[in-house]
Amino acid sequence: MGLIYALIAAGLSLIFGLMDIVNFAHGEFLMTAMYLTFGLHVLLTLDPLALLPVVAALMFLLGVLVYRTAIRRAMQAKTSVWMAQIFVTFGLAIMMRGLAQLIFTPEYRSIRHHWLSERSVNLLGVYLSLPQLAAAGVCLLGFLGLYLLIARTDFGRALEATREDKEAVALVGINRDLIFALGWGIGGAVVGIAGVMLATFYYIYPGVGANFALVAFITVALGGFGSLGGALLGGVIIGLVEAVTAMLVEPSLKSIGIYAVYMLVVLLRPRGLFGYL
Amino acid sequence: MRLQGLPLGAAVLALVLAAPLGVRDPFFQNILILTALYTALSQAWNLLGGYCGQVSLGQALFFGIGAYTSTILFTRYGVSPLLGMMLGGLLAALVGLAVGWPCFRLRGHYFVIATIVVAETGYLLFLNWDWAGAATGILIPFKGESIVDFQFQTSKLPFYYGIVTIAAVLWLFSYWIARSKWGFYWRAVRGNPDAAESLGVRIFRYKMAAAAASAFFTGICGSFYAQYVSYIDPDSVLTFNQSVLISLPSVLGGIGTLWGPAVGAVVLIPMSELVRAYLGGTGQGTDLIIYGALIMAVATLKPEGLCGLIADLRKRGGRGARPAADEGA
Amino acid sequence: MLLEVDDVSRHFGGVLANQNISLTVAEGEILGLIGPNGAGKSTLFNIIAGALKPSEGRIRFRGEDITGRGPSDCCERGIARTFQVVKSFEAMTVIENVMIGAFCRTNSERLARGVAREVIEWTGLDSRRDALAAELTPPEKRRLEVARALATRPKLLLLDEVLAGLTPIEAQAGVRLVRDIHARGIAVLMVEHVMEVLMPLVDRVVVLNLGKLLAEGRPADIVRNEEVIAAYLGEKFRARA
Repeated sequence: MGLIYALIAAGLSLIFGLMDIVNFAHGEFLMTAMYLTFGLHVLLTLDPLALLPVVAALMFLLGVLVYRTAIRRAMQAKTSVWMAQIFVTFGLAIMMRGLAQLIFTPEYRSIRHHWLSERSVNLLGVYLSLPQLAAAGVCLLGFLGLYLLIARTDFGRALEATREDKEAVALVGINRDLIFALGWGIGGAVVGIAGVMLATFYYIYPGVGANFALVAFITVALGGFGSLGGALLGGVIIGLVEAVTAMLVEPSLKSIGIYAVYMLVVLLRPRGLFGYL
Repeated sequence: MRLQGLPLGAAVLALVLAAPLGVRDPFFQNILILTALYTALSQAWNLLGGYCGQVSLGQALFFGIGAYTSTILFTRYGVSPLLGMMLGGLLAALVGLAVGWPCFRLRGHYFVIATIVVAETGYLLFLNWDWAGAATGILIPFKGESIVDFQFQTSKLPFYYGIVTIAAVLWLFSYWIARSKWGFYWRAVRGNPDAAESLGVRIFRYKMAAAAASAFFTGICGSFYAQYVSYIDPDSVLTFNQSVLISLPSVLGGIGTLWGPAVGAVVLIPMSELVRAYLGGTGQGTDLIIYGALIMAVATLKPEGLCGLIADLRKRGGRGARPAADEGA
Repeated sequence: MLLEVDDVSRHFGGVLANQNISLTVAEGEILGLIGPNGAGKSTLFNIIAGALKPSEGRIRFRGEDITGRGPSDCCERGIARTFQVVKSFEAMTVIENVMIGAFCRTNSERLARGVAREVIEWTGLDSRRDALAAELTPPEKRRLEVARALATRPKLLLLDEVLAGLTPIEAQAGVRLVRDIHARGIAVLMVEHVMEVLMPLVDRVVVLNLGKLLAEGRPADIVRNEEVIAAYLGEKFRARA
């Protein structure tokens, strides 16, 4: 699970690192991806894994669309830009949740029959559910892909440059607007991948995004906003903490461990492990 | 002659007090009460979030503390909810200070996330706290009509006047403090903390004060709510949704303004109640969609909220007449 | 002595930004702080203002040790500062901005407003009194910075490159303002790069280079100082002197 958290967090971290914006609708993006997967699965009876590229692409578009319409406007606010963008993404989150409720009803959905479901693997004496394992694997791959994209390609370098100095990049001929839009698109696609994998074994319901969003925020806070490596490490740590806590206390309290870790981070190192404050 | 400040407040209060004369249907009276409640709640939120710039999405924690404190004191120890309200508010304020102490070193979104986490922790704790009713919550048995026990069954009106009193007091408090050194310093902290500090503002102290005031009033509202609905459980008072709901009227009406929370509540609450009543099951989620869309619209088009819109219209109507510089709103 | 900087050093990781710097500012004096970029002026400036703690050394103000005290504390004691990159309260009006400074000395809104009005008048911002800070031109914003700091009734005013990037007319107005401040008995410590304007204005000059104190003295002496010329001023000034 930790790796899934990591990937979700990565998308968040990317957008923040790029333009100082925290996307409070990130959880709802996840939810959208899961519903998309569900919907397409039902409509086309295709295995979710096969839908992965499709959903990722759609989520990319969603990210760009959100940026183009809402975020850009919010960034032009005269005062308290950060407050404006908090509430824009927030309003978006609420709207998306409402739409999901309207279209899909609040019932829990799940994807039952697909290639990997109901199978488990025996690894060193521990039974691991195959869907979760596959999810972890895909997320790790996704993470690597993201890392390669950022570190190796020109585009990645442009992304980094824009993050470091927004004003200067215009002078170098980098189209800031385009970079931002792409950043949002990738953030969306990344969380879309996580969503697809999650949909293979997790319940799908309108509120699902909120839970994961909070975990994602904590993960990013732990790893440091703006740092991909931090998101990865943070995700793994959070995943472990959650699992351990679930073993120690009753199931409804399992998130307490994560929250406690978060408070510790806040107290000791507000910047997170690798982040820029 | 434009009406503003205290005279405007008095006029509105008169209208509000007279409202029940025209509204007899309990359904609509309920809407009035909820509107007043969320006006007060959001006004309290506004102190910390609007004036001081520390956006808290964890206010449900204080709401819940207030509710649980007065309820437990009333159902187990027979303490009058009127006193319980005060105690609940105080306890909430203390918790607010305790939470603020580590969290106020965070800025911007980091702070917001911290408030969410803290509130969620509170929610989980109460959910598993058997002494406080855990998930089943606490039912407040009806002991008979009484002001001291703050219970009324024959009519909703006492509740209405009760919450209006709370809201009015809070409004006056906001009005007074916005004009005072505190209000100015809060706005400075919001505007530019570094500059404020260099001018002698002890930022931490003022943030804490805002947190305490905000939490106190939120707690009081929580107590009121408990008495009004006679039943509380974590899912009704401590959830993240509740926190969001508390902040929305201010966002819509105008963050950091005096009338923002009221204007926002007047628009949001009746609308959502009516939508929910008339669309019911099939329209589930529609109220959320409308909320969300409104918030987005405000945040992108007019971050100053509806009050900002009104101010703009006034400026245009007055043909260049300057709004008073010390309106404080 | 109003301000005593005593053997102050400050390092950031491996970089020694300030090394054993000692200087004094007397009551009512105007001191210029100059030096090439990277000399450590900003660091020293921020240390005096309380925004940074020195790694070593002490700062004394009016006889009291204020080493390590925060900015709000320093302000209360009578040290006010401006920021190189102007930090106005954009959403508040000019008078409200200045009132924030005035509230440092009073709790009454009425009194603060009065003080603010007075400061706004003699700093020449009266015409913009009710305008939002966001609507001001950059030179006006800079003036607002100074007015705001003045409203805290400082004994020592720290000015961070307030004369940079101004047209000659604006610069002259700025100089007049500093002279007015001086005339009211407020000591001034100015960081500047614009030599032509600074030298005639100040009583004394302190030159920093590479984190160390290079020279100190009257303007006339400084412009003749070989080391200073070599490090910073250049031949142009030598010829003038």
